[in-house]
Amino acid sequence: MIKKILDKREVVLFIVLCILFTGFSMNTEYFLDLDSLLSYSRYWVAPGMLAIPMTFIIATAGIDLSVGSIVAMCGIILGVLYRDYQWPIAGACAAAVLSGTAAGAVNGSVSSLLRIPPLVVTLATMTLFRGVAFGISKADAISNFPPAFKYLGHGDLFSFNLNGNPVFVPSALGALLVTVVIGAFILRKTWIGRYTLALGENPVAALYAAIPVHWLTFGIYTACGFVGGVASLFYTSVYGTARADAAMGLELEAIAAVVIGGTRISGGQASVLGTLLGLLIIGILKYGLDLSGVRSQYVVIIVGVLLIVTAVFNEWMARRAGESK
Amino acid sequence: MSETLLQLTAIDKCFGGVTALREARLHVRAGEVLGLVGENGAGKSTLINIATGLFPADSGVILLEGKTMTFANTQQAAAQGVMVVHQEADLFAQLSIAENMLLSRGLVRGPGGLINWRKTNTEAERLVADLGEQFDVNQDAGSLTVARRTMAEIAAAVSTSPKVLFLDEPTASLTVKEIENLFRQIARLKAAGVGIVYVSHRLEEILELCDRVTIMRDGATIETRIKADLTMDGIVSTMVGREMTSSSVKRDVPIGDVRMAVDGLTAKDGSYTDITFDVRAGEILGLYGFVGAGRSEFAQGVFGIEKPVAGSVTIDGQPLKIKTPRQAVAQGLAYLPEDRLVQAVFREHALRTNGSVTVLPRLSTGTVISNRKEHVLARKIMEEMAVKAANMEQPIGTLSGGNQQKVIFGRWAATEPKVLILDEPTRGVDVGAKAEIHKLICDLAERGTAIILISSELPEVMAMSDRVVTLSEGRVTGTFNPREDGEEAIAAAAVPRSAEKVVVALSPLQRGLARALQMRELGLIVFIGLLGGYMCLTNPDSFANTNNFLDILKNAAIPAILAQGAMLIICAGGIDISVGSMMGFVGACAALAVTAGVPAPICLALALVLGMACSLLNGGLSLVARIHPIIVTLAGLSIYRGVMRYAMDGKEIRHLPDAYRAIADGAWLGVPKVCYYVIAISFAVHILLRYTLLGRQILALGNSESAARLIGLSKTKLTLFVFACSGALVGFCGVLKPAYYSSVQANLGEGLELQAIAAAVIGGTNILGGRGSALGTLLGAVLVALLYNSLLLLEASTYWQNIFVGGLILLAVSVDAIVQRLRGSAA
Amino acid sequence: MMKKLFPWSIAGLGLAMVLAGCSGGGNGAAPDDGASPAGDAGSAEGKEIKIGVMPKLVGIDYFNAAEKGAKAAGEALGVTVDYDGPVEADVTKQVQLIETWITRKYDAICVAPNDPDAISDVLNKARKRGIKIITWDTDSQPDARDFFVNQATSEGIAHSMMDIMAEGAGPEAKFINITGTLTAANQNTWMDLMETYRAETYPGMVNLSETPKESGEDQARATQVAADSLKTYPDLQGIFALTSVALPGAAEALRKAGAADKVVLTGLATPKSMKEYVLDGTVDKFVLWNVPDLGYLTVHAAVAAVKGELTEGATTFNTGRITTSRIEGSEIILGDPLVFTKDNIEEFDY
Repeated sequence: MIKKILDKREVVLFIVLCILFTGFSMNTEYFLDLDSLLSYSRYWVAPGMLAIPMTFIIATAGIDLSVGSIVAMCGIILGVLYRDYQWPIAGACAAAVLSGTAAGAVNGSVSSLLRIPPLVVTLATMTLFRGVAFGISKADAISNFPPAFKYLGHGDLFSFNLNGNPVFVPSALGALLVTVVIGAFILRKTWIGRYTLALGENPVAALYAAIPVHWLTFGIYTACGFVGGVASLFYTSVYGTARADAAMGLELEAIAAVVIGGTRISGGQASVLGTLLGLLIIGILKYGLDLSGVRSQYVVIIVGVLLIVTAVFNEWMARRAGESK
Repeated sequence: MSETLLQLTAIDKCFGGVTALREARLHVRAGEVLGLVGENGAGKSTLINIATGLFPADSGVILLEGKTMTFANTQQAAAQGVMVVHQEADLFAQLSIAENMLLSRGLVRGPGGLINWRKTNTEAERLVADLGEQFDVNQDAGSLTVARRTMAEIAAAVSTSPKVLFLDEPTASLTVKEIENLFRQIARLKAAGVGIVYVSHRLEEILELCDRVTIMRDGATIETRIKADLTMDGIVSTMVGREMTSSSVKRDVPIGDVRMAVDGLTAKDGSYTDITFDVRAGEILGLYGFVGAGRSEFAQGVFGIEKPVAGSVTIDGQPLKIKTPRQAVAQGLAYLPEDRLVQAVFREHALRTNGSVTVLPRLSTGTVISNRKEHVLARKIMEEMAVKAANMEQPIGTLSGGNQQKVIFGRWAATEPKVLILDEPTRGVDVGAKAEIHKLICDLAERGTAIILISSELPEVMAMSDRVVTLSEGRVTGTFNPREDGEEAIAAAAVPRSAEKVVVALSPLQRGLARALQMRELGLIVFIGLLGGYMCLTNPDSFANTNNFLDILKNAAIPAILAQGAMLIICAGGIDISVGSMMGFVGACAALAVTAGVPAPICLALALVLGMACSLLNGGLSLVARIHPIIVTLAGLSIYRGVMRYAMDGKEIRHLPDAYRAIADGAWLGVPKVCYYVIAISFAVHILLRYTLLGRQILALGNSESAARLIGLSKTKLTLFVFACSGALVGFCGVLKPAYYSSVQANLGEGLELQAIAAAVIGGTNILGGRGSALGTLLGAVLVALLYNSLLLLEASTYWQNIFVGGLILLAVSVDAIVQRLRGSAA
Repeated sequence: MMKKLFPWSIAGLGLAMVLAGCSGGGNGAAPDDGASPAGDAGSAEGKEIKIGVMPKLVGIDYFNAAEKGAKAAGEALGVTVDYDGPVEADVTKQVQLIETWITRKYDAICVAPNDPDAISDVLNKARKRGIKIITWDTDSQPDARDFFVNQATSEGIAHSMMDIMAEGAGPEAKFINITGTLTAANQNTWMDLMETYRAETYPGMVNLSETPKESGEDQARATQVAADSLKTYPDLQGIFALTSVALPGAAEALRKAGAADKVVLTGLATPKSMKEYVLDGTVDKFVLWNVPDLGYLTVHAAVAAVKGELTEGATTFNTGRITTSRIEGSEIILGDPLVFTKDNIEEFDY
């Protein structure tokens, strides 16, 4: 029974999370300040949101390296429309989300119609979209967004009292949780999710099983662009600034969370819950290390090692599961 | 009769708990043709694979000319004269046919051990001609017909004068004339004292060709008889272990109206032409023909996998709009494909999801799948199809072939099709499951489904069909009633008649053009020429001078050197996105060493070794732990950078000694040193990849891992080699850049991994492996440098530069994809 | 159905445990949670003062020199000084790090922001918790910090660079700018001020490239950009290299091209990185300030602010070894920029 439970990747990740949590709370002053932790969590929202469609993309054995650039580009479009063209903020937001969707559609259509590996397509568009961001902003940072917009990143959903100290739950965290739930629902409960996994497991068989392979690929990358657009709103709001050099490396953070979460890079198996746990593990680890005063340059090493260790572990578990059958 | 050549005794083999061979024997004499027959799954292939060194037996003895042998791999077996031609050989599609033939058997090498391509091609042509064939051996193997590939393989195997030659279903795809040529060659080998093991399902051939026949069943050798003692019936009954009941399992079903009518359907590539027939409700129509007759292609055409160019299909009088399989299914068509593993099963997914995949929208409200409906369906499939499985959550890959096929059958039955096309539904299925599948087919017919049964097993077609349509070379050659017409008549109609397939001959001009299109280098040169020409015209002063050209090359140097390493790794099927960080780490270590007083040459050596060590760590880890290299190197990307910062202790390194700087800084004959380096390295990689056996093996591995294993290539060795090469180049760049600029900062090498991969991709490297060129990679890096240079000289806004570079990569790969597609359809 | 619920119930259980853990911890943490905006000065008096100093990025000479000064001030004043920052000049990492510093209850946070706007929200949050905020090297939005320790006025820097150029290449020099990143606020301010000053004082001088050349905090790229610019603008007479990375990079390019006597190069950099180029005559003069003093002054200001000795409207405070500083409103100015030449460059070891 215990063996069977340990076979569930999510359980293992959860145990890792608990160990981290216990370790930090015993060794790090202030770690258990829940309000601070929740407040810090708003910085996970953008990479976290991106990790959800990235789970789907990796489930089809694809990859999207351009999401960081999409976030930067959408943020700039939002800012330029608001500041230079005096668009109402809601309209600018809609335009940003639309541009993200369009950027995703470019990735999706090129890779599905021309059958170019997504690694190459998104490697190119990663540079391309970043170039658009620099081009239309003239590398100028844009800020002074209206208070209503700030609510996205800095507002609080509700607060409660914990032993007399107020604890605020950021609205951005709520948005992330909503994304996670939608993602998990689509992956587990709908035929879109089922088709996604089938496509990743065996693309030829997916075609022969009458799955609309091209539309599916196109749709997933487009959805990723859409989420990229939405994430850019939160990102811009959290930092209060739209910058062309924003969100550098965000794609790698998202991919790392997905891989740590146990989604197989060769496709066919995915878990949104795993991705969420992966996000939490990376987030807690970074937060805890920052809080312990570990110098930033060592934090990246620890996260890298964690990535390898979990990947090795996941592979080992998958193989063991394969052998026991 | 004659001496014993090869003897296998008491061979046992298990695969993950499943017994494949039990005390199997094989005894091959010199100068004979030994037939090896048995049903699918009887263990023939396993026995051949053990005899030829693909994998070892669990126990048992292999004697070759009286000596005990243990073959570690197929190359060792081949060296001892034991060779095999596999059925539908797994090929290296992006390598030429000549190379495929000779890669494992000896490419012609000239001075210095370098491959002489002209002589290699001549040799391959000669071998093909010996077999009575004639075709261009220089084309990519992927563009060749199966028959020609087989002939080329046989020609190559024969060329090495083997002692024992295994031929596994060699005639499955051959035309009559090719079979004649083959048999003549076999006779010649036999006369020369070669022992030939001939595996075939075509018992007529066995009886015609073989001196003795060994019959296998259920992993054991049942008996070996000489030809005189053999009859067709005898072989068959020994093979299946019982007397064949020829009684038809077909139930009589009232036949209704025409459900599907096919009129003049023709394929783009000519694999089937002008197919016309109809099939009625409740009818089972047998579609009989040999492999290569166009049966599966026809089915795929109807199903919307490859659109036909002419003709029409109607279902219940409604014209069928065929564009995608999804449309076909929506209009009442279903197709159970031939290759179950590749085309049908989702191996690691549950039986339940495998069964429901075709009808998910129907089981859903909106897009949400109803758990209940899906379970009902899965249970129904398990019960009606009598699937033997623990429960519906069992991964389908863990079921036996027959049970897998039943689930796939259930998947299509669930769509309640008007017309069901079954492509070899009982291939690789045990006898019991076969009968059950036949029963299911009849059940479906009873419900009014029109069924097209494609099979190369004539008895099955005879027993199951109401009508039989024969196909040969893509055309309908007859319609028969199996109750009245005999097997002979049907078989005769299916046998390919024309001696030669019509091959559209390309003019030399067309061929030249086609080849030029293939050459990415040419495209790049044209592109560089155009951009350069434009710049010469618009900015003659600042652009068109030697110094500027040298500057472009100089700026391209470091990305180009890294790209050569990245290209090698990609060619072998891997990737390394940590090279930028690695370069930073190695560069920092070397610079620290040199500022600590270590002599410059030793620092250089240290950097090379350290680079190789890091890179081998990447490659080794992905091999040992079997994690995708992109994950390992994604982690490496941050780890190496972090370790570098640790090594530098937060400081910058400046003022490197002159001896160290001299490695990169300065010029010979007015040309910067780095230009020499990049040219020399590109040239060396070009030689490695194009003219050495090792290089060709790297490409072969990237083309097809499984085919590489078949010819005994070691993935571990080759992978480690390319990572070591890349590591050394990374180490070199880690010295070059600081030496040239005299400082090391913590961001040394940042982003270079993407530049390197981009240069390789623009240079025509296939990101999935198997194709790459050092020259193209160099040109790719030069093109990017030229683009930056031009934008700068044109005073284009710095802000927009990235758009041009990203656009260039996208353009290069898109053009490549389109050209590949055009070539594919032209072949 | 149970199977499906299982992983989710674990997640729920986890959340519950986290909350439980926090409530337990909250109890323990409560007693030292005494810091409130009103009582900060008083409570800081009793215990050791903790100052966090954050550069734009760690691992480059310029900020290493500042670290030295900051640590020295810490020792001199007997306060704890923690010095850490992002590994890249990335404002988002600064924001996240400051967030944890707020939690760790520093008494003052000194930051050199990579983006004046993006940093302001988190700084405001820190101020609400009673933490004194000092910006240094680069300012944030003025209302987000208590004081800005300015190395020299931007005008001072811009004017002295322009003067050096005019002196070296004449009042009709044709020049370009090489910046770090196009989004860097400091450099953009200087360039604007240089342009204003040029229009007023040296109307004959011409900026050949309206957009500055970007060198991306990468010395090698700066070399490449400078070398390319020499070709693009054959009549180029002057280069301003505005970062401590771009200036030595551009100097290397000039030396390689042997163009030192044709083109006047100046800008900002640390003396150590420029020593060889000044000594061999590639560069005559360049500008910077005393970087260790900047770190030193920053910590001093922070401590004074925490102790309540430095408040809005003050005109002086105890600045230890630094005598040149002055206070203008909420800006503390280190002094005039230093001009480095062959004669004085050997005196500095950063």
